[in-house]
Amino acid sequence: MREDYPQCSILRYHYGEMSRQSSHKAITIALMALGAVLLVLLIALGHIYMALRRADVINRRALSFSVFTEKRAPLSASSVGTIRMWMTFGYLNKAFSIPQNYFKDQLHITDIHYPNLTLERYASENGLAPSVALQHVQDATAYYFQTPHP
Amino acid sequence: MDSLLSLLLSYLLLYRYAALAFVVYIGAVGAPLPVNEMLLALGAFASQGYFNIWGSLALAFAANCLGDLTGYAIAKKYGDGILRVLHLRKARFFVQLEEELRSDAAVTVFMTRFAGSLSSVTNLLAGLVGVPLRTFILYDAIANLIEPAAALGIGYAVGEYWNAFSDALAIVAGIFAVLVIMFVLVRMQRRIIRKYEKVRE
Repeated sequence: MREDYPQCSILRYHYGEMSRQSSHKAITIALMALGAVLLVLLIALGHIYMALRRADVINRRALSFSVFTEKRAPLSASSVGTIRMWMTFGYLNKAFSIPQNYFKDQLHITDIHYPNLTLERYASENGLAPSVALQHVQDATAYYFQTPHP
Repeated sequence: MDSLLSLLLSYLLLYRYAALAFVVYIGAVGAPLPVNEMLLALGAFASQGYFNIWGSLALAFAANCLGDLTGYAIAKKYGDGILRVLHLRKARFFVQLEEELRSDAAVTVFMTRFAGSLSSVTNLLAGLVGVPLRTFILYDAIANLIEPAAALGIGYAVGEYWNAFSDALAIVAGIFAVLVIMFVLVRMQRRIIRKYEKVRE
């Protein structure tokens, strides 16, 4: 400390030093807490990775360039379980390669917005519980693959 | 599945590219929307032929950049007034944060693009502390190309199994957020130690 500091400057210096030390301490505590959070997140990520490996999802979709270049086959009957209420009939037609009016005829849909119609809206317009409506659509999709088509 | 995500996916399938641009833009400005999960699903939809992957990437990039610039511009225009009202200009922590953001603007802007909601907060802070526009745009654009490309690419690669990866993506965003905050705090601490040592001399 310099000898020629006046009294109030000495007090200011000590106050500054205490403020810096308290900032330093606060930042150190914050860093330790964040380190703990980081560890938890890494462990969670590891768990998810192992779960995906066990379910064979990661192996099935091993990242090779051909995944991006080869034309994908449409979804088949085995993927009927992936249908969800937020999906539209237009999307299902494309994803499963089903003719545009198939669901309209099979489920007797009269909404003019078809195929731009979500399954949720189809359920509410027909007074169906979501689980019932979903089952109807899944059954209709599965039935399409069971019957021969040109 | 999260009901908000289900709603967004319905809008995405109904209104397609318009919904994509709108949701990504609003998410970049600051709305807490599950944009990364939506992009993951969009990649899967593109693998099934319902969307064009390159068009989706270009649109997500543009909407993201515009949204980030909106947050930056609002903070730059009105930030001074807000800081005065909240008396933040004299707050020690804010002054230190300001110094830190100015000196490490490029790294902070770049890394927070991968850190979910921290990205919008950084946009506002960057405008408030006066990060140069050129620096902000450059590193924002580079990261905004990589981040949606990663989400779209993973969704495209895994197809109908995209939902299994959405939790992993959220955790990765959390990891980036924690790393960025730690980086900023470590730099602030070093700055404090350097100042303290200079005063001691």
